[in-house]
Amino acid sequence: MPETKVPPIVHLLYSKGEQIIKEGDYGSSIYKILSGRVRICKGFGKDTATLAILDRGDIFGEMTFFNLGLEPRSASATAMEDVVLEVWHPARLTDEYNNMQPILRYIIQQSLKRLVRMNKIVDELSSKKEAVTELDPRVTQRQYFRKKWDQECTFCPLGQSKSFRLTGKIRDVSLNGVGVEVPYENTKELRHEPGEELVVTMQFTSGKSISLNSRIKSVRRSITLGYLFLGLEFKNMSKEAIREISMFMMF
Amino acid sequence: MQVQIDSFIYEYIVKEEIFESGSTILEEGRSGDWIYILLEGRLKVKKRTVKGMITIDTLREGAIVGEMVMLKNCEGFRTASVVADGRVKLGILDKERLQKEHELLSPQLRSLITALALRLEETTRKASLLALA
Repeated sequence: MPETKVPPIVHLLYSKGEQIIKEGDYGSSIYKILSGRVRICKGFGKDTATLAILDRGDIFGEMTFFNLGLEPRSASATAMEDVVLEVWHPARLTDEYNNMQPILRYIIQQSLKRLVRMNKIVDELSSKKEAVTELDPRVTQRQYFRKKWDQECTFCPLGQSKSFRLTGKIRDVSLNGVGVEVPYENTKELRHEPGEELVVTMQFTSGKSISLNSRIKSVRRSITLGYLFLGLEFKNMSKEAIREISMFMMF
Repeated sequence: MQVQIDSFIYEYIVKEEIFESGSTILEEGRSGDWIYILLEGRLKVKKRTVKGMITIDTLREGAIVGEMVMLKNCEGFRTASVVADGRVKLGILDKERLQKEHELLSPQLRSLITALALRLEETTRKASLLALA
């Protein structure tokens, strides 16, 4: 390949605790760590999630490079100790990137898209988990994190005819269950005791409606007067249901 | 649904293969260096966790699968499992040709690409851990 002139390499020093890149800022420099460690994180204050800890030889700032500087910095970088960095100017590399085989560029863009999705999940899961834990310590009873939801649903006992339906309101959902608020008067029709099996039908924002077998894990008085709060655990979820819920949880 | 795959990609497809629903295309931890493009159908990206396999991403037509080994620039193991969600059609890409073109890039650009791949790997691992918490 034709070797173009390499611009002089700049070295920068950062002391412990200093911010190198701030999430949301614009900038296009690429950094290589010559010594010291750097923390990459997303979010601010209490919602900060560490994405990675980088060491000597590692590179960061590559996200903005692959986005061609059109997007702000997707994460912050902070010196964890005294750090020496090599700064690469992106101009020549951008040229090379733009002129490389379209298929390689396509492959890289696909990875980048996936990374953006994964970052978003990490971001959401870490901030939501904290928020929910503060509100309700019982969250630990369920193995996956719960997403707050406010959605009408209908349900009937497993094996019962479809015409017998009760209504409730989903308050939260996780990959393995839902928290549903039901009016006390429902108990005239159904006992609502732990161990009972129900078929819950819920409508997703995508418009898709899904029915899931579930079992009552816990029953307690809801904070809403006149309502019970049921903890339901999903059983035998179909692939479609898992996908729908996962998608819903992600965004 | 058939999506329009650009001709510059078609040029690299050496073979097309059909996989039935539930087939494992890549298995996490196994070695392998085939690179595929998803032509029809959906794929699930799964990670192994202490509580079993969890789905961490869904891929659609046009997605590239198995590229991490090349991008990371090393002999490697599959970093996640990829499973057919319904019947899928995959195109196997000419990895030798891709490899050659990848090697022609400057070391700096290659290390940037490696950084991107490592970041994706690490973030995917993190997301699967958080999904369990």
